[in-house]
Amino acid sequence: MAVVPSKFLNAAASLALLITSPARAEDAAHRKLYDEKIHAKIDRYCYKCHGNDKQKGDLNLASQANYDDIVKNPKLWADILERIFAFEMPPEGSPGPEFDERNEILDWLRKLPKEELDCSKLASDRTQSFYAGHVMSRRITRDEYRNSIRDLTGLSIDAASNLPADGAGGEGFDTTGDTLFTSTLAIEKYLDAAELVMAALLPDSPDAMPAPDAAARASLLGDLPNDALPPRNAARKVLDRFLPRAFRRPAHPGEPEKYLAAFDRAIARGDRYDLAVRLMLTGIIVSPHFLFLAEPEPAQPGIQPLSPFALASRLSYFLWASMPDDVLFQKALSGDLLKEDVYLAEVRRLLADPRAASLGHRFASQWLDLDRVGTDIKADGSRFPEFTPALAASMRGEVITFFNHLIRENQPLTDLIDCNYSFINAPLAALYGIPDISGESFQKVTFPSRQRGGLTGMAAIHTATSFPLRTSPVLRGKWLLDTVLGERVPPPPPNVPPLKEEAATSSAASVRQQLEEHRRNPDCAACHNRMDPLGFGMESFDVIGRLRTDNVDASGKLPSGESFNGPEGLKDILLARKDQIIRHLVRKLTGYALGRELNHFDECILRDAMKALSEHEYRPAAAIETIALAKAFRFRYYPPSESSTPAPAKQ
Amino acid sequence: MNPKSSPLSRRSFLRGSGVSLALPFMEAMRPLAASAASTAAKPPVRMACLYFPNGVWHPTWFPQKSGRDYEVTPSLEPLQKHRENLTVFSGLDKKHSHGGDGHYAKTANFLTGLLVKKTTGKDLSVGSMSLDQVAARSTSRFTPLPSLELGIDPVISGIDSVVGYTRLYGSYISWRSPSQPVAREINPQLAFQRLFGVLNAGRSASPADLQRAADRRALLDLVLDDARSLRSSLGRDDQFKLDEYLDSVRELERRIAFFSAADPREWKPSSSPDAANLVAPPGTPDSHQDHVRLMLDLMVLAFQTDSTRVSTFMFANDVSGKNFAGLIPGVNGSHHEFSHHQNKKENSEPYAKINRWHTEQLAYFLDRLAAIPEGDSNLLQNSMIFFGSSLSDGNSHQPDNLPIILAGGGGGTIRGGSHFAAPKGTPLCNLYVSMLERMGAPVDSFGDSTASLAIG
Repeated sequence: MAVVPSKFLNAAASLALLITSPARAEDAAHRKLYDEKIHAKIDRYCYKCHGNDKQKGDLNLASQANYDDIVKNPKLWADILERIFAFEMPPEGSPGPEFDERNEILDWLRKLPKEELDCSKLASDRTQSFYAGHVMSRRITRDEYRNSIRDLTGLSIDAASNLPADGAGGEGFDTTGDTLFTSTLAIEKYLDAAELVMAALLPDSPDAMPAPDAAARASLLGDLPNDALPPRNAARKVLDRFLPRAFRRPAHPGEPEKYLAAFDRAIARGDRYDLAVRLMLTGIIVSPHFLFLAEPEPAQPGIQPLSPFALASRLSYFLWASMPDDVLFQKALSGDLLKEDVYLAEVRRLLADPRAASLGHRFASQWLDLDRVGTDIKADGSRFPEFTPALAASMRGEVITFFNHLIRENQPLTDLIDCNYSFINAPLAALYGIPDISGESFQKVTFPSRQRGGLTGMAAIHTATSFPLRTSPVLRGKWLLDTVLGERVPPPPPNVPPLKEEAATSSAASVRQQLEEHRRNPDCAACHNRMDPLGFGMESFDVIGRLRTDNVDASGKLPSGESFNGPEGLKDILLARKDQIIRHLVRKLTGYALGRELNHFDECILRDAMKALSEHEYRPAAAIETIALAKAFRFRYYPPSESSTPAPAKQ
Repeated sequence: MNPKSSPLSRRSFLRGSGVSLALPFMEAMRPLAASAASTAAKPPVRMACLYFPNGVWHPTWFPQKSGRDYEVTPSLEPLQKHRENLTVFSGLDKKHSHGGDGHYAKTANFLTGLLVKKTTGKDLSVGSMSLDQVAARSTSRFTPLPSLELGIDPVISGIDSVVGYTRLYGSYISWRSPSQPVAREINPQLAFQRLFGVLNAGRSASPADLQRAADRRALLDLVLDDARSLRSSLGRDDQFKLDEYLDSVRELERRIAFFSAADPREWKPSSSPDAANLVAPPGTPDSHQDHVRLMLDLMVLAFQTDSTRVSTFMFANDVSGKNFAGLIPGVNGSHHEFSHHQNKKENSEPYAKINRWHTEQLAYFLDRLAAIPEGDSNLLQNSMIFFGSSLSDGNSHQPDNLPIILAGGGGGTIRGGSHFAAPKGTPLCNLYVSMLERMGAPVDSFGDSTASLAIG
């Protein structure tokens, strides 16, 4: 492995955990409130199960009942806050606080001094919980497989179409190692796919190949065997080029010989040279070295920089959802990639490449839950005959094209909230009532009014947040809070009937009326006061994103007292919260890049990214560079391997 | 309602499409029937677990009367011709699902009965291996496929940040381990081709087939070796992901090897599938019902040919918002939305109709199984068809009083013909203990079981 520049090591894991000392003026009041009121409530509702008599979940709160004990354990109390907030505690069947009382407890909990980060301090072995949420070696996703095969072979085929779909985890992305499984069915499909790919690249009848595929074949095979080049040597040359690209690292000693055995096997039974090469290469793309992004243990445990090859893969799968190209590979091979300036130049080069469109296709799609539009989520076909699979694809395409425009042109991320343009094709132009757009491809348009422009004016979002027959201010408000603003929305409290779902025929006015009635119930009001008014701001759009012609009331009043009207007013409300929105986007992007749920320590990345963004007019490159440069991205924690688990016995 | 149970909608679908993939080895099926000499051996018991989402509307599902003379409820009416061959359960409970959210904490453990860990991925767990996989451990050595997992919807993407669970929990009922779901095939064409591949391997082995199988075994050996060396280079936290790969490759090797070894079975299937059933559909049909029936047909085919003895099927993922408009007149809207019925007629009526549509599909499945003779019995008599939902009522989301039906004779070990009203709080897992015993996989306990259920 290349030597790591010392500058890098000094920057390594420079993180420490501090707990702020409770020296604020309001702390005395906070302490007083606990002693006089809150303690008794916690005693009443919690100690029965988490006290001196019983310690359910090994938790005894009575033994740490002093205010000073409590502030020493901010993690625990943040957790308790979360559990009460989500109505998980006290559990069903146990007496719980009434509405006002509950809010009082929650308020008090929210004001507890927080665990604070000092991102500039160096992490010691004791604080390496920084890496608790480490990125695990993981299988590549279905989309990454498709892209990697494309880039590895030069064939324009969808090799992944028969693979089982991947679920998602962590921050909501399929790149999460925890939720990428490898079942027997998947292995079968990989084997099938490998045979199909290789049969397309090295077919029985090469004469019939389309020109681009023939070129890919020629470049793969290179020099054919001749008098000076025996077949096995020629095959070895093919392998020496192909294997390191497929495995995203140089060949290990002995590896080529292993694969050449497959070639020998085919030659021995009389296979033609190219078909024997085919068998050998089929094995390579079923190998775990191709299917897994492996980050082998370095000699030293602890917090270690990634090897240049592992780093190259992390970067290319983040920005391209595909394998490193030859340039990036060479930078890893020379070790230069570990130099910060070289690395940053590569980040910028990858970002400018068309392959970075995977950020729209895979990141934005999953962040905004677009994959479900037209599959799980469909407008009713009889009421909305316009909602065809082609229109659904166009809807998703608008968001993806728009997002990729921001990335490619490095346009301010605030355009997601408000701008006067978008990218539409003919089906969307018909839906939006925009003249003179034809064809399936997306063209930039400038809107005459401010109703469209930004996510809240896009049909994909309107459909994703509607029921099949009607719009839902609740779903739309929840989407804004949860997906855009990143605020925690708890599930409805138990035993409260869910929101009245009116008959499909009821008018928008009566929806408003029913929601107002619903919010009179204080249990409902706490959240619906946050959600519903925001959702009303999108009521100007129908189920499939058309502007409504009836006089719909799209006004809303927020708990903060702010009032607004219509999609334009909603955008003003959101613009006033642009830092919150963009911070949430950065959070999701970091989760996508790392393939795991973010933890407390990752706040440092968000903080750095927000600083960079504010200095660069919210242009996305600032955030992407911050993430790619983050320690959590370039380093990982390897626990000491004193007790590596034995491989499972062969069945 | 929907009288579309016969003739096979699949056939009309196939005719309509004008495309079909004829089996190349149709002729080769003949020796199968001819080899039915050893039918004296007792046919094995097969087990299928069918899941449907979003619970049921109680008034039209659960009979009031228990025992043999229970009254026919509208949702159970389609099953009446099989009345003597099935048991309707009430009162069965899944206690570890009382907490958590309304769906994911109920569905992922439908066949484990243990706690579903609240997580978006880290330390994901459903408590144990699932019922079907436990059964398959005992039956897999007899069949080329250890088990067959089928579904309709792709895995749900994303996480549910409101409740804090990964949505994939709503997409799997079959678990190879507490933390590893078993992938399902949802494309009927691919699923048929896969099964045909298995059948083919057993019956006609052209030199080309043999060579391909040998090549595959050689490649799998090669990558298995890669996996072992890669595994040893990883930290222990990363190794278990490679273990999934290792296990899966070994499993596939075993399957390829199955037919080159002596057939471990005494019993041989006594009937051959009709030629019409040996046609792979050209793709995934637009109609949900056609899609479902293709998958059910495939399970019949797999059981009939003894390609596997254990199968699971999900009619849809949990929280499914499928719109049954077009399948059920007047039911325009989302299944999940209707299931939040709030005791309102405009919701409960379509909800109940959707429930009934599911029992119609079960009736279709049972019809097909019953039509396949096995000795002096039939395939239904030799099967256990478990059918149910992971929550009781879609409005309250409680996992007590689950809607469960067990059909089939279990090889003459299940009596049927009654409404089994279990006392409140009876673990659903008690039924699983009874089922595992009949699969030749007896256990002392399973999940939260306290005993077995007297279903004999």
